[in-house]
This record gives sequence, C-alpha cells and structure tokens, in this order.
Amino acid sequence: MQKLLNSILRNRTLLLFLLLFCLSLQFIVKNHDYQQSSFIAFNNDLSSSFFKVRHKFTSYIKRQKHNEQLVAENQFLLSQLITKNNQIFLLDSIPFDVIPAEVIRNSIQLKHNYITLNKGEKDGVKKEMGVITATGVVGIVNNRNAQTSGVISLLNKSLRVNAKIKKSNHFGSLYWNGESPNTMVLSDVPLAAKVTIGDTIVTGGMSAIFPAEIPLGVISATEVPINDNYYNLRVSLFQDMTNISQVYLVHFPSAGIIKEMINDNE
Amino acid sequence: MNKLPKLILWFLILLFIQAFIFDPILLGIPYVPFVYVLLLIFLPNNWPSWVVLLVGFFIGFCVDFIFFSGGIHTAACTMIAFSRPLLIRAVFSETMAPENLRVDQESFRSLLRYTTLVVLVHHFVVFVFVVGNMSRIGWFLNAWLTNSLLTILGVAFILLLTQNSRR
Repeated sequence: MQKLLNSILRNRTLLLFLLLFCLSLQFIVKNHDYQQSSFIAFNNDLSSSFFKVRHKFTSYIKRQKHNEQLVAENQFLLSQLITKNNQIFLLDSIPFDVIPAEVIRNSIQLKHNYITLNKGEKDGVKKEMGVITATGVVGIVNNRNAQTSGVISLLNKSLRVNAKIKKSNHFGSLYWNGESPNTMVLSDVPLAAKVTIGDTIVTGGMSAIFPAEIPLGVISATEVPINDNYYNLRVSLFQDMTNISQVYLVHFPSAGIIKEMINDNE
Repeated sequence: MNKLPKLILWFLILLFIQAFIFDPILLGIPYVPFVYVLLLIFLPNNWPSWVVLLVGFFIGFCVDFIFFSGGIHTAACTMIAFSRPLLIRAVFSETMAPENLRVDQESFRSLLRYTTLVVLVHHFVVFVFVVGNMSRIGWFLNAWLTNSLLTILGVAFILLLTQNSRR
C-alpha cells in the first residue's frame, strides 16, 4: 500500500496529465458530431453575452463594408422604383440611372444654400442632374469638376421644384421661403383642388430633372392669399435637410429630348 | 508569484486578440496564427508541474470555448504543459534544469527556437484532431505547417514588440 501511494505521488504529474488529456479527448469525441455537441449547447447557454459583445465589436469593424452593400442595394432599388414609376417618360426605354454620392458639405443658414457632393465628372455626374434620397429631393447639380459637384440645395430661394398632391394630381411649384429648414411652400395649386392637412406631396415629373412620384412631404398648413385663386400650402418635408449624408444622383435618360420638346412648344 | 497580475493581463490580451482578430470565421481565411500559444511560453518555469498542467488545460479550454472547437486546443495545451521540461531541455543546453529558464532573460534568438518547437508540437496535436484522418495527410501537412509558420511569425512579432517591457 505504501509503495503504491509512493509511486502515485512520484508520478502525480504524469497521472494528472493523463487525466486531463483523457478529459480533453472526451470533449473531442463527444463533440465530434455536430448534432450531439454538448459543448456547443453548453456554450450557447453560457456565452451568448460574450458572443453578443463580439458581434457588436465585429459589426462595428465591418460597418463600412455593410454600408457600401446597403448603398449599392439602395441604388439598385431606387433606379428600379423610379423606372417603374416613370415608364411614361421613358421615350427610348433606357432605364433611369442612379449614382450614389455622399454629402461632404452642406449649408442651411443662408438664403441661397449649396451642397457639395463627393462625386464628379469622372463618376458620370452631369449638369442639371437631380439629387434625391429615398425620402425626398435634395437639389439639382449646378456645376461639377472631375472629383466633386456643387448642388443647388432645396433650401435655396431661387430653386423651384415641380410637385403635385399625390391624391388628386394637382400640380404646384415647391419652393423654400427661407424660414424653417423643414418647411417648404407649395404654391400655384388651384382652389378647385381638394386639399386636406396631411396629404402627401410627391414630385410631379413635369421637368427633365426629377422623376415623378418621389415622396417629398406632407401638407402641414393651408392658406389662401386674399384675392387669389391659388393655395399657398405649407409642406413639412420627409427628408431632414439638416442631416443628409447619402444621396443619389438621377440621370433622366431622355432629358435632352424632353428639353427640346419643351423648347419647341414654347 | 509576483508575476501573476502580469500573466493574467497577458492572458486577457492574448485571448482578446485571438477572439476578436485572429478568428478564421471572422477573417474568412482558413489560416490564422494562434498567438495565444505565447501564454504557454510565458508560464513561469518554477511553478509546480501540476499547476502548469491545470493552467494549460484551462487556457486550452478557454480557446475551445471561443472557437467552438470542443477539446482540441485543450488537448494540445495540456500536451505542451506536460512536455515543457522536455522541450526546454531539447532547445537549451542539456544540462540546464528546466525550472531555471527565465523567459524574460533569454535572448530573442533562443526564445524563437523554443517558440518554434512549442508551436510545432502544439499545432501538430491540434491538426491531428482537426483533420482526424491520416488519409488526408496532404491537407494535414498543409494546415499544420502553414498555421505554424503564421503563429511563429505572430509570436515573434509580439515578442519583439514587448522585448523591452518584458525585461
């Protein structure tokens, strides 16, 4: 007995090693088959919070890539949507082209505000392209160089956008009166139109710049100037103009032809 | 034992690196350096061997926990913890008692030789279990040697970076 104890004590490292190694072999054998993996079940219970933290960490690292994917998806969906909504304007069945861009400078305090985008001539930006987001209109390209382009912001008193009441198709002209950056004025809507507060305003598509049916905002107040036959409607925008980062430039495929026709008619 | 806090810090840092950076699934590549092996090298040699065995087992278990690898790293780490005296004798002079090795006092060159041996043995055990079938010997050799090379590079990089602070 004494001898046995002695030999166990002498070889305790070896015995402990064998014990631990057998234990790990047991883990391996037990978890060889994914279906009956007790290790994973054990892990799931114990470590979900650890993996949540890890997921947060890695998704933070990968956010750039995810954002790029989302932008590309949006680009595709937006061009599909616009093309579908504007079949009537597609004179030669070339679909609408959408270029994603990011805002690198934006102003809202002035009466005539401008926006700078990080896409320029080499990305296919042309003059008088419309700049939109999924929730509204941002402006019109005014000038561009190879790398960047300047956009007349919707918050510019000299810009007028053709818009209509979605429900009744009455057209008007949307402009900024220089007050709140979230409120615009829709003028020239005839009194014959039935207008209720909360009606949605969308782009009218009566120009070769913005495609039709892009949501703009809702009517927040109505007023009729004295001795006038037209409404002055207050529109609160869907798009927060003070906080724009990702925008899309729309190329109207038959812009040239439409413009020519307009000129001819006039 | 006054090195214990430092060792625990190393443990946390290396496991963090292993879990958040060198994860084959996160990186989407089949080969990653298992830099946590450095922990096994940093374990003091004057600890009783059963403590080293238990600590090695624990380290391996933590890594298995992170990688869902169910026992593979545990086995490899236990193996290293057990065979450490042998490895030390093989790398350093035959006459040197393993418990006299002070990792922080050795030159980078001899540490690298020691690391290489530890990594090769460790990865051998890991990939024997990962591949599990000797008919896929090509795959085994490829995985074993590529990963070992990456680990040795990673460990050498960390050793170089921390050369001054370890002294």
